[in-house]
Order: sequence, then C-alpha cells, then structure tokens
Amino acid sequence: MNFEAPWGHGMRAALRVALAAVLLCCGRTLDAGQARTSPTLAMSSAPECTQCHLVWLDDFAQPGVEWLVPYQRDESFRSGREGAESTDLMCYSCHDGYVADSRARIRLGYQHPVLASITLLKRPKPKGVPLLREEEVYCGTCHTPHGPGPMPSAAGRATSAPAPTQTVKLEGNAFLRLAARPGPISLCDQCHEYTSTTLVGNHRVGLSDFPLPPELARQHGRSDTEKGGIGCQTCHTPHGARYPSLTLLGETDSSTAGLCAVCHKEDFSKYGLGRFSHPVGVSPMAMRGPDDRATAGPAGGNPKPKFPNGELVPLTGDGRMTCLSCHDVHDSRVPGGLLRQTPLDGSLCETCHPGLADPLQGSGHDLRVWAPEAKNIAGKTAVQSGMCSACHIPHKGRNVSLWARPDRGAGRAVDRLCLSCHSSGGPAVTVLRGPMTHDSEVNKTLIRLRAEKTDPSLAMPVYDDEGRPAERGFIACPTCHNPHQWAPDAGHLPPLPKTASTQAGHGDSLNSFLRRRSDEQICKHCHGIQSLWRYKYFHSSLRFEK
Amino acid sequence: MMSRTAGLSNLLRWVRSTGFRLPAKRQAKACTPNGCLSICGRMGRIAATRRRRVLAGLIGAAGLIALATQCSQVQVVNTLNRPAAGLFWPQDGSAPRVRFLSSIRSPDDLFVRRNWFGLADVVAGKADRAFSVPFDVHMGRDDLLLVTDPGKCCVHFIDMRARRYQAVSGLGQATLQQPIGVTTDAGGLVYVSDSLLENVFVFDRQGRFVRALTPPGTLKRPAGLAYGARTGCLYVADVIAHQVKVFRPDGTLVGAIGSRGAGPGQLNYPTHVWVDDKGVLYVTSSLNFSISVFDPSGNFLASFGKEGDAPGYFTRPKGVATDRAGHIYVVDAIFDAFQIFNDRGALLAAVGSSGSGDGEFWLPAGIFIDSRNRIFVADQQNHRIEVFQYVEEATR
Repeated sequence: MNFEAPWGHGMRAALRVALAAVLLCCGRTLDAGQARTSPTLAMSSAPECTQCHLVWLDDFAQPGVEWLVPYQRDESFRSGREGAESTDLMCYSCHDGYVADSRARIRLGYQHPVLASITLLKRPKPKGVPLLREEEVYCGTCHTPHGPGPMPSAAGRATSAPAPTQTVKLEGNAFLRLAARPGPISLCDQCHEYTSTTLVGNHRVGLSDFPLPPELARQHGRSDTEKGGIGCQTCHTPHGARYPSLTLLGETDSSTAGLCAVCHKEDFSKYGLGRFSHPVGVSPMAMRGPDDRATAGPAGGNPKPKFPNGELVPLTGDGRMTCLSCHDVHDSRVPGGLLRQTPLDGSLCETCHPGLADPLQGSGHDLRVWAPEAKNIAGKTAVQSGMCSACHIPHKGRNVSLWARPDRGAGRAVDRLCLSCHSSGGPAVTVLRGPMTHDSEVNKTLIRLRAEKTDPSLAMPVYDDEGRPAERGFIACPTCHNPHQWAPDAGHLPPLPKTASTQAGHGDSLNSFLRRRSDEQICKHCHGIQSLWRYKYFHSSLRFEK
Repeated sequence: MMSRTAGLSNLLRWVRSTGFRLPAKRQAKACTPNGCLSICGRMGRIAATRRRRVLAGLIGAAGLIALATQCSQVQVVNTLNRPAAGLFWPQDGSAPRVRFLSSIRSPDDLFVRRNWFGLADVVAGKADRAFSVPFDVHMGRDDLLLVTDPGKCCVHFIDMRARRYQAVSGLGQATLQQPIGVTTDAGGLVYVSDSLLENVFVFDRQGRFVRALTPPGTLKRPAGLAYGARTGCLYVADVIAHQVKVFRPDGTLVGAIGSRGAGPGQLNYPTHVWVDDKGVLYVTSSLNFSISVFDPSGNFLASFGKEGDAPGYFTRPKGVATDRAGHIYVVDAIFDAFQIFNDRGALLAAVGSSGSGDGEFWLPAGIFIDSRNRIFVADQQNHRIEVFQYVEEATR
C-alpha cells in the first residue's frame, strides 16, 4: 500500500515551472495587510481569486516563505507582460466543457486579431483597456474575469480610467471588460471610433425596439440591449466568424444581399430594398446598358473598376458586386446613404455604367437643369438625389429599370417610362408625343429581320410587355430614342446650346436623343432604302404646320 | 485527408495503368464472326490474358501488404499489453510503481482493422480518425475503448477485440454537441453526457443510438459519468446544479447527492465522478479543490484536498479514479500530472509533467483505470490518450 517515495521529481519540476511562471508573470505585491484593506478587485486569498492568482494564497503571505524564484515587484497589468493568469490555458483549465467551452469558436473561423499593434489603426491608444507591450491587443484587452469596473493599479487602488456607466451582464457576455456596444464608453469604441451622433460614415445603431432577426441570432448575433437594437455584435462577431470582416453573414449569401438583406427586406420601412433593386452578386463585366446595346463592362472591360478618385470598387473574390461595392457602412464620406461616392454628379453610377451619365450633363435629360423642382418617387429632386437618381433609384424602383419617376400615362410599360415626364403634368410637358406617332403594332418579325441584316450592335431594340429589351416585341419610344445619348453622331454630348429653339429641350432630326440620324438612317433601318424618299418630309416642320 | 473522389480516381488510374481494357476482350469476340479465331482476335486474347495475370498478381501483392500491415498493428497491441521499459515513477530511484505504456493518438495506433484490409481506404480515401480534444476515456467490457471528443463532437468507439472503429455522433435526428463524460453499464450499454444538450444519451455497443436517458430539464449541465455495479445505478455530475444525480439505467431518478457549499458533503461545481468496486463514490468538487467520498447510500464519508501548488494540493482537479489496490488517482490540469493518494487522502506519488513527450501532459482531464490496473488519461491539448500501468508490489 505504501509507496517508498511519496514525491517524485517530475511533479516537483512541474510545480517549479508552474510557480515560476506565475511568479514571473503575475506581478502583485504580496503584502497581506494591503491585500485585506484594498478596495474592489484588490488582492485576496479567497478561492475565487486564488484559483487563477495562485500566489495570492495565504501560504505565500506567511513570513519566512522561501521563493523558488526572485519575486518581481512590478505589476503585470502595467508591465505589459501577459501574465500567467490571463493565458488561454488558464481559462481552458476550467472552461473545457464542464463549465463552458468556447474553444470551438476560438479555433474555427475568422478571429479578431491579437498581438497586433494598435498603431495600425492610426488613432490614439485606448485608455480604458490594457495593451500588451503598451501597443498590442491581446485576450486581456477585451476580456477579464472580473467584470466591468475600475482597473486595479499597482497600489491596488482604482485608477482614473473611465468607469463604464453601462451595466454589463457577465453571463453571456464572455467576461468583456466593457460593454461591446456602440457608444462613447464601449469596448469596440476603444479602438474603433464610432461617431454615432452624426450618423455620417457609420451604419446606424441603437433603435432599441429593433428585434434581432432570427437569421443573425442563429449565427450568434446579439442585440444592442436585452430588449433589442442594433449594436456592433448584431453584424460582427470577434470569434468564429465565417467571413474575414468578422461578419455573421456574407454580403452575397444565398444569392441575395446576404447580411444586409437580413434586415433590409423589401418591406423594411423606408430602408427596405423594395421589389426592384440594383442586383448584387453579379459581375460588372456582365453589365449591359439599359438599352439593348451590349457594353463591354466598366471602363471597356476592366475587371477591377475604379471610382473617379482612384479607389477600387470592392468586389468579391470572384469579381462580383456586393452591397459594399457602393456602400461603405463604417467609413462613408458622403452624407446620406452610406455611399462611397457622391451620386449627385453621376460619378458613382458612371463607374460601372460608363458612357451613360457623362453625356447627359446639361442635356434635356439632366433634370438638375431642366426640371430642378421635379421630384422622383422618393420625394427628392434631381439636385438632392443626383442626376441619375432623378430617373433611376437603386432600391425600391418601380420596375426592372429601377424607374424613379411617378407613373403618369397609359400605355406599354416601356413607353410609360417616358410618359412619366413627357405627358401633361410632367416636367417635360413641352415635349409631348404628338398625334401622329409611329405605330407600335408592327410586323415584329420583319423588324428583327431587317435589324439582323445590319450591324447587330446598331439594332433597333424592341421591348416585351414588362419593358425589357427582347428578341421580339413592341416598338416603343426607346426603339428610336436613346435617353442617354443626345446625338448619334457625337460620342460625347456637347452642352445643349441655349438658343431660342432649344430652351425647352427641343432638338432636330440630327439629335433629339435619336439613336440614328433621322435624315438618312433611322427610317431606312426598318423600312428599307425606299424610306429615304418616302419619308423625306415626315419630320419636316412644314408638315406639321399644314 | 484524401477525398473519396480522389481515392476512386487514383484507383481507376492505377487499374488503367495496368493495361486492363474491356474493349480488347470485346474486340477479340468481334473478330470471330464464324466461330474461328482470327489472327487479330487471338493476339488480342493473349494480350488480355497477360494483362489479367498482371492485375491478379498486383492484387495479390496488395493483399499481402495489407496482411503484413495487420500483423504490424497487432504488435502495437502487444506493446500496450506488455509494458515497455523506460519510464517509471517515482523517478527518484525508488521502486517503480507506475510505468508508462503507450500513447494513443488515433484508433490506428491500435490494431483497429480497416475494412477490406485497408483497400477501402485506398478507394474511399483515408478517414481522419485522429483524436481532436480527447476529454474522457473509458474501457468497457470486452476491450471497448471509448473516448469522448468535443473537438469533433463525437465519441470514438474502438472495439479492440473485434478490431472495429467508428466515430459516433448521431442521436437520431440530432447529433452530439459537446460530449463530455462516458461510461458503460453492466449490460454493455454506453452512456455519454452532453453538456450543451443537457442530457445523457444511451448507445449500444455498436454505437447505435438507443435513447436519451432523462426527460429534458432533468439535468442542467451533465458532465462526469460513472456506473456503480454494486448499486446498479448511474451517477451523473450535474455541474451547475452542484449535485451528483443518481439514475437507474432506465432513466428513473433515484436521488441527488450534495448541495452547493464548502462544508462536509457539499459540492462546488462537481465535474468528475468515480465508483469503485465497493460502490464508494468519489466526486471531484472542482472549486472546493477537493475530492469528496460518499458511501453507496450517498452518505458523506470524507473529503481530502486543498487549493495550493504544493504536493498533495489541488489547483485544477479533474478526473478521479481508483485502482484495484484502492489508491485514489486525481488528475490536475494545471500541474499537468495526476497525483496518487491512499484511501486516507495522503499523497503517495505524482506522475507526469508539462510537455508533449511520453509521460507528459498538456491540460489533462479524464482518467480511467481498468481491471488490469491500466491507467488511461485523456491528454486534451496533446490530442492523445496516455496509458500507464500500475505496478503491483508482487510483480515488481
């Protein structure tokens, strides 16, 4: 029964190592009297403390105790060394499944960087959380088993560090040092500045009555408060994230807008995407213009389009668009909409739709010039929402063209786009469709055959019932007119001369947003060579004066 | 890990490389429209026969290699049963009492037979059988080694007698989330506690899910398990309830032992339990830093242990077990060792140190001692089970 050697060298060596590590790294004064009189978070030999701070046991405070290694009287909290108490193994020695086990989330997926220098953020060092070697983020920067409260100092007294005013419920909060919610005294705000007061540059937070969507709850998302609301952890998680940006969902999950669409559903008040919204998950290279002209993608086929200021458009790894291609939810410099570029001059749209916005500058379709008071269906004028947004809005559009003008007329879908302005009561009331209008019910087969005989890129588009360019369909206004092109001969539209005849946006048969010059090409395209003399005087002003 | 598709494609590529071609055979038949072999067909048949012989020879060689592999794996088993010379404890030159036997990092370290003598692994790709976070270990009847692995959310069933292995995680419509404790009863049923699913699940020896032990809500965070052969009851450490709950194998709750506190018979986050041959219950009261002992009726007998880093103290007590001689073994995760006490709580020896070598530990947890006094310790962060042998005095 009795062993001859009750104590082995192996255990002794193990304890030496453990004790040496604790003594070297712990760094607490071992004055027992001071420990008993210190305020909150002072040294104590209570089991709750000594289970991690082993050297706080009374046995070590007895006089005459011989130390295995010389004790260093500086404090680990200030010395910048990661103490033995704050290593992950110390945590895992209890949190290994019997109490709780979060190792799976620590080891799997994307993690908040640790041992990373805070200087990379180019902002002042945080004052409310400790850093390793005075500049590196480590586990103890965010986590503490002591809960929120003033940090201990070398003398065992509370420091002047800002005391959190928010109550953090430790259970379920992973022992965070401060509340992980947006605000002036929050954990995330220590390093990631959040200007929640201006609402410029950052996604809106708060909204205390906003319920956490179940899609995010399943991914360990959290509300700002127990009652709800948007916080940092509503979209992000520091451990076990599935995406590099530490988001709970990807931007293009399930071929939708992913993370954004979880909240911005079709019917989500004024922030909903609506039924018709700008597509995501598509490549800008596959973009086609609103008319049937095949375009080679942004900047003539550049797979990495750039904004006018030189910044690359954020795309997925395989070159697809996401919500973040246009929006910057944390560093937007454009007031309203969290956009990356201002939409007012069309530069945002022009990045991926080259040649569609620039020619409109100052033309009859630049409503900033010709109808500055007209409002789109979002209730904004062209001056407020931008040149493109006067007719197209990326979200909550009326149809697949993302049309933004109110419906004013009757007719086919594609014609009603034009009639929303070119009708009585519309801003283009001076340019109305006259009584003698080209018939739309024509032999569509004939039209297509004629078109195919010519250059396909110059085909005159026909449209289906929903207003989309189709192989066979109806002749509509855009069949002859290109709303993004003032004159067919000019690749770039010169400013419309403000003459007496063009004050109201009128042009002639050489421009007027025609796809081709009407004097010799546009009729011939469908009606053949004989149309050159047959319809010679059709567009003459003399004909209408009769 | 080789994927199944890659394994199959490799096999097909290898078969093709032998020259085995079905069309060659058909061509020979096609060339005999009148029942007579043409010269072309005869040549094709001879070539096909030669290819088949080559293929048969290669298959035979592969079989011999697989058989040789099986034989080499049997040698590993013998190593487990026959102590290897080298590591002994105590290490101060006194008579050895504990001997290091082996480390098990995966079932392949044992003699586990692979299907079709390993040919299945060639075809389907070798499965990743290595332990991730072995947490608790139990040796059941007929050499059924059970290892809970929360890292892989499964229980490793290693039937050392039938030489079969499988990773069990299915619970019917659900799967294990965090398997912690494992034990078996007298009938061979396997009990696995899942601290996240808050229940104990019953499997048969083949790893088939039988039932959940208790209705939902009975247990708060079940952890350590032990089966008392003398009482015929299952003991479950309910960590958050600070109790050890006693069940019959059919799931009937018989009673609960202990309450939260530091007094005699009180428990504070009990994590591991053990029942010896006499029915005495040993409970690790983790935050009391002590081992509490109860008689088969649940009456408190004694406790020993105190927080500290001196020999005989506890800092992070984990698994507890007893050998046939009545010694009490307690694993400590901070010491990276297990300490051996007599039945009065006096320290006898300590085994292990921090590290990844033989006889070293990195956050050890569960412990099990079988009827042959083999000591199995779950070495979590080293991803292995370490096996020791208690050396009885008569065999020294």
